[in-house]
Amino acid sequence: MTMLWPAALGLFALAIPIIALYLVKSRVPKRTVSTLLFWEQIKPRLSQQPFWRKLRRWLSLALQLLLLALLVSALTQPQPFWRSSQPERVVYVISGSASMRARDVSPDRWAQAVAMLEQRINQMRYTDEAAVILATDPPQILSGWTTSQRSLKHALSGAAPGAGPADVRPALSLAENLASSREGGRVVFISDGVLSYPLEPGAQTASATAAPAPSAPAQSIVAATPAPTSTAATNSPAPAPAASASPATASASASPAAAPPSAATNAPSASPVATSDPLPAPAPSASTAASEAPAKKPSLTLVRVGSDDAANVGITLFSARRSAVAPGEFQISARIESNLKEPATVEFQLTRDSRVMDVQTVKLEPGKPWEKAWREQGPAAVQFHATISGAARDDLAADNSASARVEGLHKLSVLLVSPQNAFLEALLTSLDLVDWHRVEPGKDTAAETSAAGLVIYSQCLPSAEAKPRAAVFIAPDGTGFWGKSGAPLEAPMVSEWQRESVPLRYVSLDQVRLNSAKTYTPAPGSAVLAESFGHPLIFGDWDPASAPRWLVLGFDLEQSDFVLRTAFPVLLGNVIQSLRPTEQAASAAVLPGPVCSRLTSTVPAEAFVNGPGGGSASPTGATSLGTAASESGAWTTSFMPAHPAWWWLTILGLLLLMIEWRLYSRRVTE
Amino acid sequence: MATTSVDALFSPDFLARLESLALAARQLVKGAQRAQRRAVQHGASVEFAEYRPFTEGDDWRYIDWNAFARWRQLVLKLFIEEEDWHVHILYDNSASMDWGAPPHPPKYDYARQVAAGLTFLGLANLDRVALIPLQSNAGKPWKPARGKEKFLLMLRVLAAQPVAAEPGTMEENVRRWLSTGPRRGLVVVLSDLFGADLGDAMRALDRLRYARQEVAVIQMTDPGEAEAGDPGEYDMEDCETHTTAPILNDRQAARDYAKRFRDYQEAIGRYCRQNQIALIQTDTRQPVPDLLLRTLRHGGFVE
Repeated sequence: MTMLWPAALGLFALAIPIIALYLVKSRVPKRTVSTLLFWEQIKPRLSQQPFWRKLRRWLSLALQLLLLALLVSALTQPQPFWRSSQPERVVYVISGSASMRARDVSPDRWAQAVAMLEQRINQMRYTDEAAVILATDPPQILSGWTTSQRSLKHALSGAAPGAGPADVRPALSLAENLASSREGGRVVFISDGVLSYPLEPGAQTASATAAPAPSAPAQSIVAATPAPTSTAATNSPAPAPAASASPATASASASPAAAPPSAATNAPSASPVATSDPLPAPAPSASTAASEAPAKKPSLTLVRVGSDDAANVGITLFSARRSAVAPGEFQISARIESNLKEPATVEFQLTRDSRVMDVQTVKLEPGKPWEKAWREQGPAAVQFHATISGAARDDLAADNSASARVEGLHKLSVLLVSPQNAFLEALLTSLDLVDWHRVEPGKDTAAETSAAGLVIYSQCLPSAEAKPRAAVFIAPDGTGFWGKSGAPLEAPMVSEWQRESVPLRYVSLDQVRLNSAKTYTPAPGSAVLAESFGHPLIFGDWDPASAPRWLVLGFDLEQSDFVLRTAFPVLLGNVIQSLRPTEQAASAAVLPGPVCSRLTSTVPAEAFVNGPGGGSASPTGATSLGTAASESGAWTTSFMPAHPAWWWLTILGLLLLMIEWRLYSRRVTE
Repeated sequence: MATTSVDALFSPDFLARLESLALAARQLVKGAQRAQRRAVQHGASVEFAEYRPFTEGDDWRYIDWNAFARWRQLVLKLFIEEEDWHVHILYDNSASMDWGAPPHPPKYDYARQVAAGLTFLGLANLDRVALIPLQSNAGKPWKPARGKEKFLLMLRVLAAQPVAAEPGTMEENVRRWLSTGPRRGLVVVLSDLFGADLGDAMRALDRLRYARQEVAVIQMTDPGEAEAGDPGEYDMEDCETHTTAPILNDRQAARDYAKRFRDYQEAIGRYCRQNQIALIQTDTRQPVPDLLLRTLRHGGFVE
């Protein structure tokens, strides 16, 4: 038994005055009577009192001493026997995913987790240290190492779970690093087990190093293209195979999921020590490495909150995005899922700018999501809002509504520097949301070119002072920042093109007749998008980060049938569309996502220290996830409010005080 | 603590009530000269009693010569002697009487007020009244006296009479008083009858009876004595003997105490009825004039 304030044991000295006062109290009061004639008659009966009656006064002293012992014990703040005498250094990680808002336990999982953690904080000794991390994207350190219970509770009071799924791996890696900085430090992860990503930190590292795990395709996308904007992938993270066929997945592919910037920076590698050590030691020799035991990795204890019978029907996807080829069009997608084992019926309502757009009664079969897409048109900004209601059981309210906004389109200013060109002029006229005008070659001014979103130079070059933000050169002749032209190319023909490049997406250059083309030498750093047997035909630097963005079509449009094909408007449409702000393309609601909405633990119950096996198994089988089975009793949830031991001791002491007062102070002797 | 001031013990109002009681006593008791009672003793009087043969040493003046002339035998003519009626008021001055739970007066004060009232009634009826403290070694007895003029002096004696410091048994005290040879008469015992044991009071009354005294008893108790009082654990101290007894006064003990008290009172009543002793049992809540009126109506206290 350890105590937080052992000095309080000195208060046992109060037993001395209690006994002294008791001895004083034991002097029976004298009462004068006129005669003992009648009392002496019943005195023999009094001597035949039960044994306990004779001991009653001693029992009073015993009760008082017991009361003192209880109060002193309460002041010492005894700790459970399983707590060692060594200081404890624990990094507490609380899951911040939206599933923690589920109300399958009262009042909800988050409150239960906070209550459990506060109970642990209350049991901290003055030598114990703790830190608290909220596992959100990115993880938040609510409190660093501290011995102050007040600081920890204050940090907890301002925390709240997020609205979407959370990747807990960066938080756990951060906690590991934090725990490694203290001797004997360990990590306690309080979660409902609803993890959208594998728990083992190694999996995260593997994906981050371009070795995508099969179960985490989203992470591979994250590693390849750390795109900034979150869309459907945010709502349907990694292990969601059904999403691959849905429009949402297309959205995800187009605009990859956002990964927290800290995912790669904060998270150490899977190696427990070597990569997480902020000051890596020199590589030991083979013999040294063999003889030295690996550094001990902080143990991880999983503590579960929530229950297994959570029921939920929720929106797992709601997105709206504009069409890539028709900017005025946009598409709205919604998906509803249920984790109930029986069919469920909900009322779905979709509004556009607060006006009802669609209302449906959705019948959900177990395990089968409901999906639907809508197509709408309009250049203005639109706010969509979807709600479901009427579910028989619904423990998570966060996924019952979703909002998505599609920003309005702005006209793109295009400057055509060219002699009269019927094809280009007709095409620019036909494109929506394009405001163009033509100037003769050599007449373009710096102001015009810098103001235009796109400058198309047909068979001419920009003036010296021209500084376009984006430019398309059609059969340029000469030398420029784009490269230089050479001799005419004989029998040009498109032999290969980059179908995945942004300008050539959905563009088919197969069997395009090019009667007139030149050989070009692209500028260093540019990409060849189409070529004719090694001779670049279309090349440029269309990277959004480049300034300026430029593209060269190395053939004469009027001498080819390219202008007669659909590929011509698609190419120019891609070019113009790619110059529009990205955020105008798509918008997705921040939702808990399919994994969180299921509210089902993805971690085996045996992995939790308060689970059926008391932490006998590791969630992933990894040795790094050591558990502290001895703590199982401390994390057992109870219907009783969580109170420290001293609280119960005080209550018991007061109860004894009342009994003693009732029996003796009131002189109720029977 | 017993009162020693005459004015405090016998208030003017109390004395005024005694005067009215004396008038009531004359109406209740037939005959004006209640003091003229026949004594068993033969002596000089006008009423013939009997003849007795003359023996040597007899006063020859009482020889009935007419009888000698008729019978030729010397006989003495005896007459019934008329003498005053003696009333002995034995009031208990033991320490147990100096006890009273406020607001009631100590039993000793109450007994002295009753004694004063009875004395006044007796003096008013031309009786010879004697006031005898039961523990005579602790107080000075008031010898039999007659005449209302003695009343004020008697009051002073009563007020100054202290409570006995030493314990004693009632039987022994009565025996000691009887040994002084009091004349036979009415003995009114004013006491709580709490003796050394349950039979002490009855043995004392037996001695009075055996001495051919007419006995009347006024047993006075304090209301607090009939109950056990507050529950708890006490060292009960006898105020007379100063002996203590550890007592756990719980509800059962309180019930037993009250039963024992009632049983004792009933035993006293039964004893008096069997032995034709006039008995009045009262407590100090009853006003003294009311008690005196009650004695007049009860009979046995005033002939």
